[in-house]
Amino acid sequence: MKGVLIIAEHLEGRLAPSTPELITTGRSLAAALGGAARIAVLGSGVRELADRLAGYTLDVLLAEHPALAEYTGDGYVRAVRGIVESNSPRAILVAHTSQGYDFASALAGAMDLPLVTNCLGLDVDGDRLVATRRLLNEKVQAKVEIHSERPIVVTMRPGAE
Amino acid sequence: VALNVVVCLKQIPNPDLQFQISSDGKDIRRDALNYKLNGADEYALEEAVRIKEKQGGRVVAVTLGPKRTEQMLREALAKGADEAVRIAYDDPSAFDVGKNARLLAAAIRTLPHDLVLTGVQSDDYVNSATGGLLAGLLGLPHASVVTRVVVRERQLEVTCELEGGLQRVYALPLPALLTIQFGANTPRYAPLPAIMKAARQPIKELGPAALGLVGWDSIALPYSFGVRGLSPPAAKGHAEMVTGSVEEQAKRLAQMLRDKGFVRR
Repeated sequence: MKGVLIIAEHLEGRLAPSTPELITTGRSLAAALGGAARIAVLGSGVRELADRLAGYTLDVLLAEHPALAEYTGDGYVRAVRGIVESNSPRAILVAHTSQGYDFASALAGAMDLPLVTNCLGLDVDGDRLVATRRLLNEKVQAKVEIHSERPIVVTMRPGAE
Repeated sequence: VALNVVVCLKQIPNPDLQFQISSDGKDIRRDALNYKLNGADEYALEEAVRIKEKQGGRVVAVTLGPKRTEQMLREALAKGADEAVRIAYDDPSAFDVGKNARLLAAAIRTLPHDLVLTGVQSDDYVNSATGGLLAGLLGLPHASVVTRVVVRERQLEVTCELEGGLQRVYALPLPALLTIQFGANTPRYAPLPAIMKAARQPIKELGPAALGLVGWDSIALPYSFGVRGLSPPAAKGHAEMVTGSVEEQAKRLAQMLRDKGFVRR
């Protein structure tokens, strides 16, 4: 359990600008954990998108199903549950967008996983994941740590790093 | 159809204030804060009351927090909630959203609920996580950042806001959970007689035993969570102070605006 699973976000065949950012964050996190980063693309007719993501030189997991043609929280949770169970990543990275936090928090609830959201940065300290967040209208910065034997669900604020 | 609506409310320090960090560096100083109902939760409460007024049913307002949150619950009663429930978890900071959500879920399981509403985020910790966590924990279909709700028999039609001015419309079966967007409606003011009445209404208090727990720390969490420390945020950009006489300052400012391309010559 060392790897990082990134969830791609896309709309009408276009990748969300937050996804390449997540790949960067996911790569450095995976390096700190001594594992590899992989990215999952969910949808229907998104093979071309998956091919494009493979150009970032990381493994792409493609989940295609007509029920995933449009994003729904419940559909994504069901599909990603299987991917998480077969890959058991150390962390699952999702963009903190309206679609991203809708999905990430429901996944953490449904699979009983730890969750930290709206992060600006991530560090690994021994067996702990340390997240940097902003509170109270950006007036306070917080570092919080999570330790778990289970995959940790993380949402990253777009444009943060 | 009459609906049992549960609305989750959070009392937060007014985020417009300035904050100091406590001496142990693990919390903000809380001795002189004023607290208020979280912004998005005001809209969730209003949406709950409107649905009840249209469909019939009941609205139960639920919160998690110390005794001071009773004031907020009375405000909810005065604005149309039928019942108020306080989970008496007294941690004044309650930073761990996962623990908060699991306690809220345990309380909601004891209440009839066709529809659970939360605000889209709390303006103190800005997690945008409680609603989704609750949906996952309770096994409810859900939608986030909702700006419009229409009830059709045992089905909801909701409009959700996405980035870039886009919207998505979903149909969901009941029971369901929605997180309500800031500005989704126009919250009402509580009429004076309702405020007077709310002051005398009982507030149901749930201790750990009512949620099937030995103590607040005995709730099963799949992780351990800790605050390492709070600090003032590091400044990101560079600020240039413009000094000199007013004329010199104006000249320098005009030059800067031209240099940065805000003004065409």
